[in-house]
Amino acid sequence: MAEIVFVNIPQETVNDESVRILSWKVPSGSAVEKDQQLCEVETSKAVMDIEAPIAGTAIYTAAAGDEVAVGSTICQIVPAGMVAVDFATIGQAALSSNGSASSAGTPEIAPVATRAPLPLAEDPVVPVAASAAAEEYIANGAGGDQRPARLTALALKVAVEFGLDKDSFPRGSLVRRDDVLRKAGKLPPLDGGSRNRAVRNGAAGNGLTANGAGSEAAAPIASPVSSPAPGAKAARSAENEPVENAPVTGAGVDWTDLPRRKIFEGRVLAQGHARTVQSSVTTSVRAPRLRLRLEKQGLTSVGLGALVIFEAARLLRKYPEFNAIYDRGRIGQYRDVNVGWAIDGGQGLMVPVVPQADRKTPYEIVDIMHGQIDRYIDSALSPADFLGGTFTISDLSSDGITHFHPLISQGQAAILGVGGEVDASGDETLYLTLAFDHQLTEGKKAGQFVRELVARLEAHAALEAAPVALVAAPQPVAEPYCALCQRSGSALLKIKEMLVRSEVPAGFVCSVCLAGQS
Amino acid sequence: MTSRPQLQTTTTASLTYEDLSPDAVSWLHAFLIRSFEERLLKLFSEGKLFGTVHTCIGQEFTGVALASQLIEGDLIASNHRCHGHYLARTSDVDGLMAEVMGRLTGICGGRGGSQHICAHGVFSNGVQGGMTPVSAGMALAQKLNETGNIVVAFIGDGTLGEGTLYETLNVISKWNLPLMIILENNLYAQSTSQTLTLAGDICARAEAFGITSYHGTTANPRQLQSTMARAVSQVRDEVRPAFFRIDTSRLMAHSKGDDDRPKDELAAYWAMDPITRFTAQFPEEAAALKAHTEELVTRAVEAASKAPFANNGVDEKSVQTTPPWQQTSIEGKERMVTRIYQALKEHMTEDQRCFILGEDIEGPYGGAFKVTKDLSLTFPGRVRNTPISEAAIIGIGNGLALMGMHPVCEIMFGDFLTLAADQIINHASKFRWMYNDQVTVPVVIRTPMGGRRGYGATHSQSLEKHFLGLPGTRVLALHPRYDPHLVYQRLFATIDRPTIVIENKTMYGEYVTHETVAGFWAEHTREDFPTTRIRSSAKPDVTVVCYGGCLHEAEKAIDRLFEEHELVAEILCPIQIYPLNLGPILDSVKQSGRLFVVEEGQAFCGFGAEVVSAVHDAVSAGSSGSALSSARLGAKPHPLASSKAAEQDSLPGADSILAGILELVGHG
Repeated sequence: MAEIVFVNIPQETVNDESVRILSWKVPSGSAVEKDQQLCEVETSKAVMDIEAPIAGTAIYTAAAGDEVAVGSTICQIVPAGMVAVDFATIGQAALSSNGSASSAGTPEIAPVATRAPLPLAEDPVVPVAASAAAEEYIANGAGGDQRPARLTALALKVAVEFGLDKDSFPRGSLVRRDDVLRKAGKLPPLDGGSRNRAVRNGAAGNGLTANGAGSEAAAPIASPVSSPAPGAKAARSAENEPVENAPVTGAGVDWTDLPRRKIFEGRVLAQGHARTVQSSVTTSVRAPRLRLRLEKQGLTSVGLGALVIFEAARLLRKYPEFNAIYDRGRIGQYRDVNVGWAIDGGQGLMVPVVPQADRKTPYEIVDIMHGQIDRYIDSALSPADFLGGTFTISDLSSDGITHFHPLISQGQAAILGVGGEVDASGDETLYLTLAFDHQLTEGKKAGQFVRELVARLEAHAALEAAPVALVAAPQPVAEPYCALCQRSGSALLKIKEMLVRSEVPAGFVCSVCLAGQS
Repeated sequence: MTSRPQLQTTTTASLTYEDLSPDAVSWLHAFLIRSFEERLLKLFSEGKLFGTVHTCIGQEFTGVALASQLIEGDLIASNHRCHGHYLARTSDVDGLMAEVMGRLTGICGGRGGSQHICAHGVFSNGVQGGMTPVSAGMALAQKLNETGNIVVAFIGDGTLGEGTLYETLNVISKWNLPLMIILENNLYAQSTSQTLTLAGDICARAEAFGITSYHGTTANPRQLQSTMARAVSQVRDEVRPAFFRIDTSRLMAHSKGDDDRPKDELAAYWAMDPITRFTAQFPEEAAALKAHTEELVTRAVEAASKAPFANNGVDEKSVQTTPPWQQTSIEGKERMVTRIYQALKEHMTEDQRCFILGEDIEGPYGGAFKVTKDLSLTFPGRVRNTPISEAAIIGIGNGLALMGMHPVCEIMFGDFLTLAADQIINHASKFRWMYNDQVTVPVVIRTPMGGRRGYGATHSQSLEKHFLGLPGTRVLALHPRYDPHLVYQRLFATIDRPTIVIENKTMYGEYVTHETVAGFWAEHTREDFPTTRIRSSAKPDVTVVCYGGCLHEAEKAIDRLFEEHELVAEILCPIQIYPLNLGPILDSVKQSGRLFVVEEGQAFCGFGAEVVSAVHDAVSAGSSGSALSSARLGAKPHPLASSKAAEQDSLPGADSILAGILELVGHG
């Protein structure tokens, strides 16, 4: 049986742990021949070509300009006859609708680390943490002493208690617990002599003095934010700063810089909000046995998330208008279904992406989510983890949230919010809210989407309720067949379609039904 | 190159230089060498010489026959038994006598002595076979610069046991270098008869490498001379190497007092000796030649005896300064390997003297670590693949450098520097001082060191400590916080000594960037080869000293040291690890009071031991005891495994550096 072949970056030179993709030679979604050149990558030695290992449809998972690790996948080749048929058509439709392929012949993929999978020319480049840091670094000149103060974890914890943050301290300084306590007046200030000695070490006669540290050291230690010293950087008055969003007049405002992470998040959401006309529909599903079912399958470690991603992703192929982007009278259809899922475990809200979630089993999705959770905890999520989300799911059902209105991210058309409620009898009801861009579709379609999603989730719960009937069904049959249209594998082969293993309904589903064309 | 000095004959009535036919000149030189060395034996027994003396009494005509065929600009590379070669070529009795007597007026200021001479195009060194790849490099320079000159290297039959010789024979034949190797076959290696140590045939060795071999004997000087003429003409006119076996007899001991040969065997040699036979046949002429040459030698001894003894000159002061700190701009975002490549390319473009040699360095392969990439295609003939012959690679580099070129030798893995150790330690590092600063050896030896690649015990080591502390050399270690392009630029602009550049192999693929630990920044001393400091605005609690590949791990360690333990460290990472400028390290240690040194190699007798003791010396100087506490960390004391976890466990990494610092600080 033909399988999807992953194109990985080979270890070509002994030096490199990563390479840079220079250009793709054909648009993603194109049919390619075996050995056809797919892209050029730059190693430390030379530019090398990467060729298609088999014939099929090439689906890219990295973009030109990306720095990708050796061994990582940059492309999947789906052999002819597999479900990629609809990918190809969706891809072509998307390309012809936004016209980017018709003129140049290659997709315009912005050379940035993170971007929408099919960015439109007018889309602003989404800054990532790394590039934001670089901008700030450049803006402040080459001197490392101009970056905001760095606090240890312990110092930060103590600082929060006193209402202090990194901007309460001179730029370029290192801040420890005792520095915070000193700033808060809980410890006596350092004597000028020893402090000056540290600073003089930095000055060394070449003007490289950490000027923030130097001037602060000479001045009396500032008191906490609540009673700011005149001119202290931590608490700036609104009058001195140009503002985009004017505060209510007549009320005093103390401005404090938000963490960079929060600024980025806000920017993405604000842009999503500014460019969409948001509407939402909500429905509920009683899922008394759903969690039990998941438990038996070993899928509960990420809550309901994996299952919801699994079903929603497959459903998005049937409802492509929710896996899309609106731009000035056009709809841009994403070729892949890459589902972002919101995670907030105390280190800030982040939305890592399960790429091509519609082609993965629940177990593969759980594996990816586990990896991302681990990296989230280690603060090691990389730009690759955020790459190219086309749809987002925010599951707060385990957090005691019944219902909420999720915000559509920039470059997307919809977001699914999952809330939950457990009644007195212990039965759980899930509330699914689909917020969507009304420019692309309407509430009726959104309603169909969530209802069908509910049906699929209930089917999982039903499996647990009546496992024998559904699971046993395909077993006596010698030849596999599609559980939806009942066509046999051999019959499907004649029309160049095929069966893929399915969880719900159990057994097999043919590529025709799977693509939602039944 | 000066021409041969003329014999001074003014006080001898019966003979003048101009009266002598070419053949008579040969006899005069043979007598001169004999008189010179007989006097050396007398001086030695009078206790007027230092060390020992190797005479060529009985072998005079090897050098004499050759000298008659050389032209101005031709070069000789000789060995421990070099007096005859030098006198036959130069007639410089005064200079050589003063040298052997250890006087300032000697050709090497008395520093070299009997075995280590350099003047008028004659170079000698005391290691068997060591000068053969050097002579190949000198011959390569003649060929590259199209001088039309040739190089002749002398070896003895004892040298046939040295592997370096065979590396050289292979290369000179493959590259068609204008080099003749003359083997003086006197049947004994010091006291050991050739019959006990030599297998096979001598000339067949050269012929196996495709080198034409010639044969002659000092017992027949006339025939030797004519064969020599043919051999020299082949090397010069066809630009093809030759091998010349000259059978000869050493009539005296190898050195002083180590002759156990049977008396009757020696008597037979004496009977065959051309000077003995000449003296029997032409007693009057012989007496005149003997008297004339002895007079020259006597005057040389008298002159030398009045001259002062050799001195050591003024040593370079050990540097201990703190130049101003600065930050450099790093353009673009490029990998270490690309920046090194660009520096090499730039120098190759700008300076015709640059020549790159090493294993597998030609394009398209472009080196095991792809540093030379396509340079061989851009600069045809100036970037050459060598056989797998590390001693020859560095030896040829030494020879090119002696000829004023700028060779860049690549040793594929630093582990293999050991195969070229003799060329580095006994040749490259010695020539300049030993030859009384008449020459410089601007050879660059680039080599990757370090582990974390799973290459196992013999391809992962950091062996640079074995090459630290050779006076007159320099060792640099690159790191990605300072642009290696700048390092090479300064190196090529200023090079005046053998320089080993350690390129950590895990860093080749890394991007050159200033970006370092959050809250810290990188700055560098304003020097050709600066010390990099990773510092913050806070007073450091500890000074961490490292170089090259360890910087990365040290950065990770000080990041965690601050985050998890609220301690501030400062990293001092010198690019020039020998000679080491202690100044910046001292300044930091005076602030922190604590010194932690980490190196990837074995720590015993290592870089860390040197830094710690030097800092202690400096801090405690002039005060009663120092409050400085210190520790050092190196690889665990066993070879490196190929298996990743075991290898990581052996090497000093962020975890062990952090643990070491905490223990030093007392937080452990």
